[in-house]
Amino acid sequence: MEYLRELIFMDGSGLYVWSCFFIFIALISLNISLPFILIKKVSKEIKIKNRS
Amino acid sequence: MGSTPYFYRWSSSALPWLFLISFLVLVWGLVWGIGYSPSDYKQGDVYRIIYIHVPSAILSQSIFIFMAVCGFINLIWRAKIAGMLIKSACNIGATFAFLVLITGSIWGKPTWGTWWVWDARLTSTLILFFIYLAIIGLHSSIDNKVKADRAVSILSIVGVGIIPIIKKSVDWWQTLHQPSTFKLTESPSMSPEMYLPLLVCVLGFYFMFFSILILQLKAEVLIREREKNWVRNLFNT
Repeated sequence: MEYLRELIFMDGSGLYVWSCFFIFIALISLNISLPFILIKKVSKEIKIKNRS
Repeated sequence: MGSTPYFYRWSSSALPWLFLISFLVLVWGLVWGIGYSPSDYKQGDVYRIIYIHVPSAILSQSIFIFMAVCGFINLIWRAKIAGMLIKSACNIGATFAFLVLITGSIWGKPTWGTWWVWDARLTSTLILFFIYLAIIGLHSSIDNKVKADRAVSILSIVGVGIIPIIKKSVDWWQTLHQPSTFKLTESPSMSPEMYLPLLVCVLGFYFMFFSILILQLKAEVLIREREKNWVRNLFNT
């Protein structure tokens, strides 16, 4: 429990370190999810076009 | 690999594995660095931003070099996949350039007492970010994709001149920024307990870049070749 508290607060540096970490996670997630959404959208359009 | 149908099929089967490896290496490096490496005697725990900041900086620069190489290949051999690679890599490079600026700014506040200074290293990295944005903007402003690829190839080759300036900025000018963490000619000044997790993080970032690059390239191939028979046949089954 003490280790977890130290890991989160880091003697006052936690806000700086964790904000960098979460910005990194958010940007990487965006870079992964956007092409996935694009591939799904284009695949759907091609399938509709193929049917018509 | 130059054949787009082959690439599309290969990427569909390889991507889950690539992302799995990237994720595992990244988690290994970040947990080791942020959770278990010792505190710095000067900066305390805030130095742990290094495990995101330095790999982002390395990636933002090496992606640009990669784009310049692709630009060269595209201009000389007219390889269409090289043009697509520039377009795909540029988005990721811009993300890492933005990330290095943001994390550097957050790190600067507790250590330098300011979010930003017009320091040589910071300013040259900001210029790198603007070049990335210029390449994205230039590519999306030209409808003919072959011409767009050629234009961004030239811009990538010209723009790569910023990389040695960023690298040498801490030696050429008086800066607040510390000297480079990685030097090929010298052994690291950090202790192995801090340095080794950093190396794992750099490796994880490279894996993640490669995985996202393949994913973005897959999307790019699908968009550009949607009218081709092989794509139609792919979605007929």
